[in-house]
Amino acid sequence: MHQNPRPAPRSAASANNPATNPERTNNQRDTREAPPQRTRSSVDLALYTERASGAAESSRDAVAAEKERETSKLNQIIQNFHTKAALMICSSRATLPQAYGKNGEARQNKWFNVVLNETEALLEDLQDWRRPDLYDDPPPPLEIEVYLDASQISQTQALTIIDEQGKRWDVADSLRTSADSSPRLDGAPEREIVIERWIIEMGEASRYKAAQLNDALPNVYKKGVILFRSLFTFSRLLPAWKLHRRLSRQPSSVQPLKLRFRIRQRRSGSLASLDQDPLQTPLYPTHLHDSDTNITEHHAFPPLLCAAAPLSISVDYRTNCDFHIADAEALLSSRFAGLDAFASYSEESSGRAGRHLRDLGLTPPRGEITTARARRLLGDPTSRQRDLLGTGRSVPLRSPPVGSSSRGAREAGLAGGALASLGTYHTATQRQSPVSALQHRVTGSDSSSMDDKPSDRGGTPQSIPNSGKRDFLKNPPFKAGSVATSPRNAPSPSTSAPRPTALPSSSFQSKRLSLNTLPQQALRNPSMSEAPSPGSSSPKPAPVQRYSSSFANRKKYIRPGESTTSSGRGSSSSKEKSGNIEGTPGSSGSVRTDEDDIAAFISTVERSKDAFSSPVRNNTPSTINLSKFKGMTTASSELAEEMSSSSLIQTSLTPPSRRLSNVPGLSVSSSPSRAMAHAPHVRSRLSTQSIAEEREERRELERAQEESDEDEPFIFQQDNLED
Amino acid sequence: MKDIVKALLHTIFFHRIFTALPPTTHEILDTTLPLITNPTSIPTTLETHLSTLLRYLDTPSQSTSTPSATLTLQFLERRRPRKTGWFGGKGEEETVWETWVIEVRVRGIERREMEAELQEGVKRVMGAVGGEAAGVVPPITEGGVEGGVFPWVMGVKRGTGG
Repeated sequence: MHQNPRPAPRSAASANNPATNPERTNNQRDTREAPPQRTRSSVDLALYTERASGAAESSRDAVAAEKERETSKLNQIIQNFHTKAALMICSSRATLPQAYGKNGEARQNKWFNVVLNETEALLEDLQDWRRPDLYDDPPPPLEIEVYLDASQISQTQALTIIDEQGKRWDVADSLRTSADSSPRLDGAPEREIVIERWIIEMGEASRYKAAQLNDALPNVYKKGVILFRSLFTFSRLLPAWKLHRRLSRQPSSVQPLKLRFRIRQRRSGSLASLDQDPLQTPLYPTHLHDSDTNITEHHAFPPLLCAAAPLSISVDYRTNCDFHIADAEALLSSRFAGLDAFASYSEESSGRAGRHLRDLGLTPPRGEITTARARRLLGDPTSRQRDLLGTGRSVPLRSPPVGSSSRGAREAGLAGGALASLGTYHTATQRQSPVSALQHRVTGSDSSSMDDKPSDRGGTPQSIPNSGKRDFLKNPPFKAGSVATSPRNAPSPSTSAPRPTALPSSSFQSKRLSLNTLPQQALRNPSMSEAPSPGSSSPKPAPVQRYSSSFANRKKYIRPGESTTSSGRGSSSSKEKSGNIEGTPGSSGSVRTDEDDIAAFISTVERSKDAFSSPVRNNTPSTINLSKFKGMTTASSELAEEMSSSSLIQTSLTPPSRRLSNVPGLSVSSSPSRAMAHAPHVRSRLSTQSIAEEREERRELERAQEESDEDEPFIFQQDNLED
Repeated sequence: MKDIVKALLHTIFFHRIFTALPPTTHEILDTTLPLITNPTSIPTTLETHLSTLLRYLDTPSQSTSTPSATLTLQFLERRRPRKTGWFGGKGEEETVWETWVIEVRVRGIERREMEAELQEGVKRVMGAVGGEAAGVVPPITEGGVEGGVFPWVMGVKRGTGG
């Protein structure tokens, strides 16, 4: 078909354009150099024939007509350059509705020899760049912003991002921090995270020599083909592509995150007015780790030189798009445990938390708890408590509230609230199950192991993506701990736990879980902690009974010396924390019964009242390396998730005393067996070597903890609990 | 590892095929890279050469401890000289206008490194084909292009730095 030499209607361009590039190119090229070879329905052909024939007569007209055609073609190229680039970018970041032609067949855009399904979703947005006079009136740069829309995540969920070290960060906190510091133009800044910004524009023609620009159109088209191939390839190399794939795999009902894009004109001043580019908003403290990677990277494609201007595509993109949805409770608990470097970004920005965060996330905390953080945790318990109670979630012991407090004070509040609310917290059934699971685990009960198993497996669905991986990594530590660490094994011997191997992992997880569920557990099953060690002295069980058995698990890891002290401290969340912190150093090498652990823990808690050392950090039960804490946190949170969801756990939770007594028997439910199943499963993932390493690390950590851990972050909690 | 080389080659071809094609991709090391399925001559020939390459790699050469091999891919251009000359027929020459050399060395690195290296390789391909280098591509003429691709020749040999 002949393409009208006059500027063809835009809509017809893609369909009518001789899409087979070789032909078109061939025609133009050959005709330029030699007499027209073939008759093709293309503008070029008409052009050439006209040229040849018109040379003699109305050469001027011919030249003018030719120029007109050239211009129209150039316009087309420019138009389609923009459109095709937008289509390619958007289709690789979102699923676009298919456009259909007259006959019902799917329309496709074949420009630049890349066939993409045409869509009408972009037509409206791209009107500015579909004018036929782009050559004369260059349009503004076309900007496509790809952002993550988190407005649909529920209250109980939080958006997290995992950084290079595998630490999880709460995105909402970070956003709030930056939002406070800089105004934003777009609405709902807290719910949007800009991931990429593509700019398609006609650049400065002055930068290039005329010879470069005046390339023959077929050559231009040919180069355009290559450019778009590269664009296609590159768009799939960026992290946003993986995010898109991951999100699109899950049904939208399950996945609240949505990747969206917006097309607009890039006004030169649009970003200048912002103090902070939303794309550049750091989602986690970057100075915490030695990152050569910046928050964003820039890539510019070599421009396509045409007579009008160099057509260029460039993109600024975030290097880290590892977003996940995590259950807020799990986050809180994990934070509480200090395993997660969840310290709010605000803390980081405030500077005080920097050290703490570093301690939390980066290096194994040597028992140092940032005072600031401790203060934060302690402070303002009421507000947090209210929040926590309101939601009915178990209050994580210390982790900064997920997304709820971007400020340290809030974090402290949460921690305080969590602690304060421990006493009042009624075990959310969900929570309890993990805790009970933990307890069972500690005591070797089947139920606990059962609980642990679910969490071992991978925790909540939301956190599965990241936690799952970490489970593999971290779970082994648990397992290894169980096998290697004597303290871990202590409960088993004493409690005749049926599955010693499973215990460690479960205990780890249970420890984590206990963080969350502690309040409930502690309240409900004071005796649970006692249960693990049937043989333990009765006084210990009594005080401990107030606290969840998970605590008991932790106790195992607590320093051996602890056992003598307050056994009745119970499982206040603070205690848990302190127990964890202290437990690590103390547990090394000591065979403890649950009772001993509990007692030790209590003593630790009491001792730690004075100093608020790393509050969150050491929550992980004993031996685990701080570096592994992260994994543990994840695991625990996941574990908590799973446990809470499993009904079995709940049932097992109910009779604490019974549980305690049954611990050895493990007769409560099948969950323990299941948990056990998980444990081996997890273990299998790890190589024995790594497990052994972890064991060693854990032991070292314990020792280190022992030395450095002086403070009990949640002393106040203990007080609260006791009240 | 063979997949990596295969992925790189597919990417190269992807950038050198000039027919309109719906891009297809395949996953390699958690990365999505273009895959050439059509014309099918490409994948099949690729397979042949890749197995040769692997064979070379499996049997380490005597000189070096690490097995290595080099795969070269050359794109040719068939030119039809203007002057038909006295020979009557159209003389066609095949000139190489682009040569890709892929050196493969076997070594044990972990998966993430492999991923990174693959991405690095792909980016290099993109850099090589884009921009000014795009002008290197000779004009696409009917005769010189078969199935949208320039004639190409692939060779495998042992060792590196050949």
